[in-house]
Amino acid sequence: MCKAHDYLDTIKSKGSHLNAFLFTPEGADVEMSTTGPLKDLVIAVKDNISVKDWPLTAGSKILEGYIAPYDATVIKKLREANATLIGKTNLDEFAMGSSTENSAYGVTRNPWGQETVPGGSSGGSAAAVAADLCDVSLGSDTGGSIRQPTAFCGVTGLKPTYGVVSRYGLVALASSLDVIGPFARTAEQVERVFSVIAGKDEHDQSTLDYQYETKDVDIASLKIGLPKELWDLEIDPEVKQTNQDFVEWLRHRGATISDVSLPSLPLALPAYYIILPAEASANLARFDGIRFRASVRTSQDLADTYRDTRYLFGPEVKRRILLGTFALSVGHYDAYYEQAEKVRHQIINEHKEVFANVDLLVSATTPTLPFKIGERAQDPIAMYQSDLLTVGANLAGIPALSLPVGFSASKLPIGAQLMADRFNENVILSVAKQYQADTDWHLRKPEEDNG
Amino acid sequence: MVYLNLMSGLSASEIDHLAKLARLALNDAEKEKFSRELPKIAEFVEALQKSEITTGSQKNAVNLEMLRDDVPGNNGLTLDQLQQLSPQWEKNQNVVPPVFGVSDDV
Repeated sequence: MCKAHDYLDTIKSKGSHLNAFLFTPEGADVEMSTTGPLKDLVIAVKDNISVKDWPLTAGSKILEGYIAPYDATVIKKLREANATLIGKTNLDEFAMGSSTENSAYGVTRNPWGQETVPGGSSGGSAAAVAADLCDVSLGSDTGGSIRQPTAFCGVTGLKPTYGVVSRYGLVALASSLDVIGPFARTAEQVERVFSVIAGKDEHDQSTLDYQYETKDVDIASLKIGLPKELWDLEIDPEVKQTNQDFVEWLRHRGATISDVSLPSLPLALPAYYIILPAEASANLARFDGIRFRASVRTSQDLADTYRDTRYLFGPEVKRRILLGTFALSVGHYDAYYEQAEKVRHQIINEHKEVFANVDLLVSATTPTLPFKIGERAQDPIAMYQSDLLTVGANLAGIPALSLPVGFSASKLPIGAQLMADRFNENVILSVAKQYQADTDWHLRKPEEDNG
Repeated sequence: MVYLNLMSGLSASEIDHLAKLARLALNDAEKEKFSRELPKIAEFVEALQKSEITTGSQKNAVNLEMLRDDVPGNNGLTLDQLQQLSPQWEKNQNVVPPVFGVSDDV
């Protein structure tokens, strides 16, 4: 029995009620290596990333029965480093959502509260780490889909710089924003996996020449900015207080803390909800009943095949395809899509200006504590607000990490978000590692604390 | 050409038009729901139009650094794999409904 088999047993026994996994391989097909840089890590993969010969659903009925014919580049790199892959994790359909409630295969439950969402869209990946069903997991982040579930499940998760990790083999949502990143209990494990998956890939032409190197920073020499547009938002009092305590820890370590302003940040979420649907409506055009197995053919008419097959999409996917189609339609392109692109460039420029003066930005990861299953399911705008604090980093293309910095009175985890300039993952990871050497929030486990 | 105005709400024919552009079949409940929700989302993103930002680069936000050499380099999917991915497979070919001749709606 190796660790991977123990995990497989737990996934199927006491972990099964969480619905964190959509697929696990047969035990006989899972073997841990004795050599290689990731030989000790058992890794789960969000089910929008291709693993050869494993099903890939992206949480959608439209991909039911689809078996991935090749490995994503990140999977190839994990295999080369001798990591052990243990299964595919649940997600909001096509990564559209903040709760995993949009999965066609049922909601994932938060290990810290059975009636609470794990966040999303990478909710299964975050819950799997929190519940000790794997060591590390991979997710994807387009507007907060790694960091928000990271915060809700009390784990550590990194959204890397845009263009640093190949998306070849990732089901595209919004190609100008999508990035793959790791979840783990500790920043040290996040860093180990990130350093393996980062780098240029000829199959993803947005990837840049980049090699990650660990470089520790002295917190006493850091200038840290608190973006007032994020801190001034309506944030849950416990979330805010806990994040203020985290800032006090940084100050105590000698960091210079100042308020900074990114004036266009309040426009980030509206711009995101134009750019994302526009790109998604184009990316999802490939699910047309001609490829990818699923097809509804009620007539001998190609247009009917397209429309009837795409009826299989869930409500959030349809909503965003319609919105994106509208934003790109004649007469609206300028007012919506082009204006959103202008806002994006303004946000990129404001971040450049701020990072000329500070090394790190800090805010809460989420405006609220983890919410209840069903609480926001009928209100798309309320659900979209979950990304309020995270979406700016996607538009700016900068790296951002969430780590646990405390708990509410109701014993739900609270996350803080660290953001740095492009390619400065080492600053974020170094600060996170030093914080975790000094505190034990990241080591708390739901069973011990939640009865 | 149909000019849709989301802010003033969506009529039944407008939602039908949008669904047609998006190649989506919608049932009546979905049509009713989306014609209610889409204007709310349009209202949510209205801040964009009201913003002062008028300048800024129009170029693609993504810096496309390179193209690989122009040589066949696909992953060599086998016929078995293609068959596995195909909704309908006959004589080693993926069968699709006719593109021309049934309706002019494609």
